[in-house]
Order: sequence, then C-alpha cells, then structure tokens
Amino acid sequence: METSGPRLKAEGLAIRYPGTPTAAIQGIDLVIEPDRPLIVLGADGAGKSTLLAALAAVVPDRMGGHASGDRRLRLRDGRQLELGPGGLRHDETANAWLERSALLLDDPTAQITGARGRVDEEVAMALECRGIPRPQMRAAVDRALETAGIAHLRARNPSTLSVGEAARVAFAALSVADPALFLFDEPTAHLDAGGRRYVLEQIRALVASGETLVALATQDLDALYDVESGGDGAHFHAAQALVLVDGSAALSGAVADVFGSLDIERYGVAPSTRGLDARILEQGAVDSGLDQLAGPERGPAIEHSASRDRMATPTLIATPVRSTKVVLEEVCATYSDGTECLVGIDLTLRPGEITALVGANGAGKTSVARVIAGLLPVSSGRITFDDEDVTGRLAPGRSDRVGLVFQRPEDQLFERTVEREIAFGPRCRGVAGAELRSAVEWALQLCELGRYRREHPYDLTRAGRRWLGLASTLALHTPVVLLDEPTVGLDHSGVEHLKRLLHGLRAAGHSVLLISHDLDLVGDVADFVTVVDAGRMITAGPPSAVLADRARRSPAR
Amino acid sequence: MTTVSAALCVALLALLPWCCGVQAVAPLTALALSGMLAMIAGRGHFSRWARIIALAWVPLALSLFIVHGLFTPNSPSIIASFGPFDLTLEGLALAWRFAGRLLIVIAPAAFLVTAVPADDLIATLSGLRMPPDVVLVLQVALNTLPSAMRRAGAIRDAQRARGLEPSGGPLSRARAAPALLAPLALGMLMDAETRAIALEMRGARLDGPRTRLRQLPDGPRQRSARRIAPLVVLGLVLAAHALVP
Repeated sequence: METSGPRLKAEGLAIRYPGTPTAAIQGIDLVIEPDRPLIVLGADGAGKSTLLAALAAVVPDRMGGHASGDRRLRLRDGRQLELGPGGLRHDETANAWLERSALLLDDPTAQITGARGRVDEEVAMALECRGIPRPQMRAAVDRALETAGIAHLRARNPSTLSVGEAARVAFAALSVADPALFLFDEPTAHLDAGGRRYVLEQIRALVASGETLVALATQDLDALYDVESGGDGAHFHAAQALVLVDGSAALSGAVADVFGSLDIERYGVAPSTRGLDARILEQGAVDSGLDQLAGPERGPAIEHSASRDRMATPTLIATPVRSTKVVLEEVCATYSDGTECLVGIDLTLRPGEITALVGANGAGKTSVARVIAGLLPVSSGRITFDDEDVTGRLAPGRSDRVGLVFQRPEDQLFERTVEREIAFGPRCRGVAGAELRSAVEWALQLCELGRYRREHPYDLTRAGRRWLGLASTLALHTPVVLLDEPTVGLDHSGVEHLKRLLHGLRAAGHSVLLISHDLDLVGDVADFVTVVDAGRMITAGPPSAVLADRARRSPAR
Repeated sequence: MTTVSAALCVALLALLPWCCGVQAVAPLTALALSGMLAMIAGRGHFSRWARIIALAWVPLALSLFIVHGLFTPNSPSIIASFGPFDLTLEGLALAWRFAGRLLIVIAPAAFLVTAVPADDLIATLSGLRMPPDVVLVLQVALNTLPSAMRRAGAIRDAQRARGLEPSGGPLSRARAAPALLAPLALGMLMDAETRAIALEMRGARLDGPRTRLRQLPDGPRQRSARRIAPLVVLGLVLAAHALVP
C-alpha cells in the first residue's frame, strides 16, 4: 500500500565522474522509507560513497559528473522532488533536496567546515544558511549541543577538537537542521569505542523515530550488532541491505537474507563476529525476497580476495631481519605547547612479537609511536634499542631501525608513481641499484600493488593509499615496525590480508607495535596488549586477559 | 564595527599634524593613538599590537632607511661616511616620509587586527550585506591557515620517519622541499573537496536570506560614537587646515 510519509526512490541510477571511462555506480534501484533504512555494503572502491553522495544530491548535482536514471524524494510535507539525468545544477529542486538532506562522511575532523571559529557557530551554520531567526536558532543549537553531550565545548575552536569530539560536533551540525534524509558514510571508521557507540546510538534513535530516511554505508557489521541496545535487533530487522560490486548491485534485499547469504564474504563484506546475521535469522522477522541481481561469480573482489591467499606470509618469512628489542623505561613527553602527553610509559617490543597499544582517541597511543620513532623527544625516561641508549637520537637518526606507518598516508605521498614513492625511503638511506629495485619489488608484492606501480599515488583508492603507505615503510626493511591504525578504510579482505602480513612480520623476527581501535584484530594477532589512557599505562598483559577485562568493564565493546 | 571606525579615525587624526605643517610628526600621532587604543582594549592586546608593528613595519622601515639614507642622489648634508657610501640627512628624511606613511596605515590596522577577533570581523562584513560567498571564502581562508600549519608539521614528521633530513644546508633543504610541499598541496586539495561537501551539507550555497548566531555587542552609545567620532575628527582636520597658515 502506498504510504504518504517521506520516501526516497532511485531507478536505474548511474553516476559517471568527469574524465573516467566507466561509471562509478550503475543500474541502482532502491527505495528508502523511515521504517526501511538501507545498509550499503561492499568492498573498498565498490561505489558506496558515490551512491550516498548521489542520494544526497551532492554528486553530480554540486560536485560534477553525470547522472543517468531518476532520483525522487518525497518530503515530510508531501512535496515531491525529482532529479533526472544531468550534471551540475543549482536550481530550486537541487537546493530543496540539499536543504532536507544530511551526509555524514567518515573522517569527522575533515567535516569541520573551517568557516566558523566556535563550536556553537559551527553547529548553527546549517540554520544560519536557512535564515532561521536568532532566538529559534539559539534554542535549537543549545538542544543539539546538549543532546550530543558537547555543551562544554561550545566556545572551543572546532579545528582544535579531538576526533571523538569532532564526530559529535559534525553529527550535531547536521542534525540541528532536522533533515528528512540522513546518510552515513562509514561513520565509525576513525572512532574509538566511545565515539563509535555515540554515533551508532544516534543512528538507532533516528531509525526509531520513524520520521527520517536513513542510509548507512559500512564495512562494520558488528557496528549494527552493537547498536542494538539489548540485542533485540528491532530497528534493523526491517532494514534492507544492498551489496555493491564494481558499482553495481550484486546482492540486495532484506537484511537477514543478505547477511544470511553464504556468499557475503566473497563480496568483500565481513561477516559479523558477534552474530548479528545469526540473531536476526533466528528471530526470522523478515519478509522480503532476496534479489540476486548478479551471480556470485561476478566481481573482481572475489578474484582479489583469492589472490591474496597465495602470498604474504611465505614471502615475509623468507626475509628475516636483524632483531631489535625496544625498551621504554618511565618515558614522559610533552607537546611543544607544554601539554603533557605521556607519563611514565614502560613498554617493551620484542623481536618476533606483536605488541598492541589500545585506548580511546587522544589517549596518547600515537605519541608512544612518535617517541619510539624519534619524532617526539622525551622529557624524562629512557629508550633503548638492544640495550643501546637512543634517547637523545631523534629522527631521521632512527630510520634505519624503526619504520612508522602513519595514520594518514596522504601526509607522506608526493612522488608521481607508486613505485617511486616506495623507493623514496630506501633512497634517503642510500640504498640504490639492484638492492633498491629488489626492496621496491618486495614491498609491491607484499602489499599487492604490483599492477598499480605506474599509477599516481593519488589515483589509488583510499585503501590503496593506505597499502602504499605500508609498502613505503616496509621497503625500509626495519627491524622495528610501528603501525598506527592500519585498518582504517580497509575492507574485510584488506583486513584479512593485513592479518596475514602481521603474522608474517612476526615470523620474520620484526618487533611490531600495532595501534588499533579494532579489538577483533588485536585479539587475533597480538601477543601482548597495553592499554593507555590520558598518556598513562592502565594495564598490560596477554590479549586474552586484557581484552576480557575490558569487555567486563565496557560491555558495548 | 566601532573598532573599525576607531581605527579609521586614528588614521584620519594623523592628518592633524600634517595640516598643522608638522608632517613628520603625523606617523607618530598614529602610532601613539593606536598604541593607546590597544592598551585600553585590554591585557595582551598591546603586546600583540607591538609585535605586529615590530614584525610588519620595523624591517620595512629599516630597509627604507638603509636604501634612501645611503643612496639618495643630490643630498649635500652628510652625517656619516661608510667607505664609498655617505649617510645623508635628506636621504633619512625621505626614508622617514615613506616609512611614516606606512606606519599611518600599519599602526591602526594592527590595532584593528588585535582588538577584533577574525570571526567578529567576518560577522561585521556579513552584517554589511557583503555577498555570502565572499564572506565564506574570507572566513574559510582565515581558518584554514592554522590547520595547514598543523598538517605541515605532520608531513615533516612523516618524511623524517622515512629518513629525510629536512633541516641542514640550503642544498638538502631544496632537495627536501618537494617531499614536504607536494603532500601539503595535494592534501589541501583533497581536504577542499571534503570541505566543499561539508559546506554543501550545511547549506552554504542555498539561496535566500542568511542569519547569524553571533551577536555583536552594539548599543546606542557605540552607534552614536561611530556617527560622531568621524565627524569630530573631520572637523578637527578641516579646522586645523583652515586656521594654520
């Protein structure tokens, strides 16, 4: 039966970006209603972000490109908006569509507009642009800040916020305008457990309100499980899932059917480790047929995934390194502005062992890695490499022993090809000729970048750039490898590959420090876990003991 | 708004000694009045004001004194000689004329920058019905600088971790430049794309009237002061011009 509430419908939707030969997404049919949120799944580069941007009328309507097919949005007041084939547009329909839409992207700090100098003004901006009178605006902003638990941040400059704080501000800044259509693009990718829980609870509340059209692109099915307070699955039973492969809908239908499909992992989607699929299937509150738009045989995700099984570990084991034991004793450090960031850190990285460092955003995990790499001087304490005191030797003086894979690979990519980028680090250390070529080949093979060797680093997908950052560091062949949040932006098969690579590094005798919010990964690969909070060590021990202890204290994760 | 008027008044007041025939004192009037206003504005404002003068004006003035003091032709009044170069009184007077003019502009402008937060200035422009797109560009530009500085630090760290030595002699600095500048430029471009989406989602390019959460304190006294002060200053200048032969 036709309802009269808000509704979004796309038919035969295809988007092609300028200067690209193939469509980023094509042949997409979908309907979103308040009680039927959409979950978009798929491997890295499958077209999830493009689909959401197209549903928000950002692509191609504002950012360029060309759309085919139709998008129709019925607003809460019954008004119908229709966007047909075309490119950039600044007409009344596109404006009205944008005015009622919200698209939350994955990196919270990148969504601070930079156009306002205070948090309350950043949150108010959407209302300012809609000409809402100041008294109403003041009340709405106060409400939004209170709801997001960020009233105390009201006068802060948004550019100084932590990732977790920025996530709350970004959500408040969009929700304050009460959008009819709320789209979330990997909203938990950069967040710690607290930030993740906050964002997911907000999504759940939106779905529960029954007034907002919600679509969520995610790699993280566990997130959907966590969002179910009480684990009853109430809000996502009625959800629909769409699995994209190479821009086309490979699988779509009721969430239980899609999650229950034996093939889901072959599309680059991780099965839920906490059994969301099983729980939903058990409850059986589903009734909408599985729509196999394309057979499981299609899609390079399968081929890619299969090819990954062949390598990594053996290659790494074949190249053992000179072992280095790193010991931090009572290490304290302060930032240049005088803020104390590490207090009395004791940590040992042993050859052939993976030590994981976990903690909330801003706890000091990255500072530990920077101290070991010699990028942040210690104010007191001692650092030794194989009993040699290196406390006073700063980067690049330690780059022969320590390789650091940064959280933002974009901060180091500057060469014109992937190959040259990987060669840069070894070159800085005087490696040349056959030795350099062999190091580059090894890293290319290890990170499966061989076929992209002549591509420009910025033409790779975000996950591709992450692999390139990793390859550039591994090519240094340092005995100590530090990885800062290496799973951000990786799809399921990427994370699986990373696990194999980490096992390989351990087998080859590297001393590995893994900084990650992904406790499943930590549980799978780490030999030792250290928890930090506010720059101090809270607890340390084998993962089984530490993670179980944390789970007891924090049931959500 | 009132601060903008005050800064303009200070610049106009500098015309007073000029009208009275003591042109050389005009820049000092501007300096003294701006300094006084900066002191009145509150703690810390004066030192920030002085720092801006020191960084923006002093190096310029010094170079003007060196160039004109030593190299002004047809200057008979030699004060001192440095080998083949003569420091002349006429040259120094010429330098002070140029440096003084700069000071008349820079001193009140420095007061304006220290006394008015960038966001207030932008809100004022917005209140003056400047096109929203122009205001937006100005504001984003003002707020982007600190984040670009932070990113430059992160890039430096990332390259040092790979073995690059960005400090040292000019040659090694030149060699390091692409590794430091390219990620900054490319990163800013990528950020610009994300930021453009964030701005679109806030409705920055929607048509229709805009409002502003920020309310600038603007009582009747301030409004009156804004109207009266320029008139008084103009009156003084005209009177001085008429009375002094």
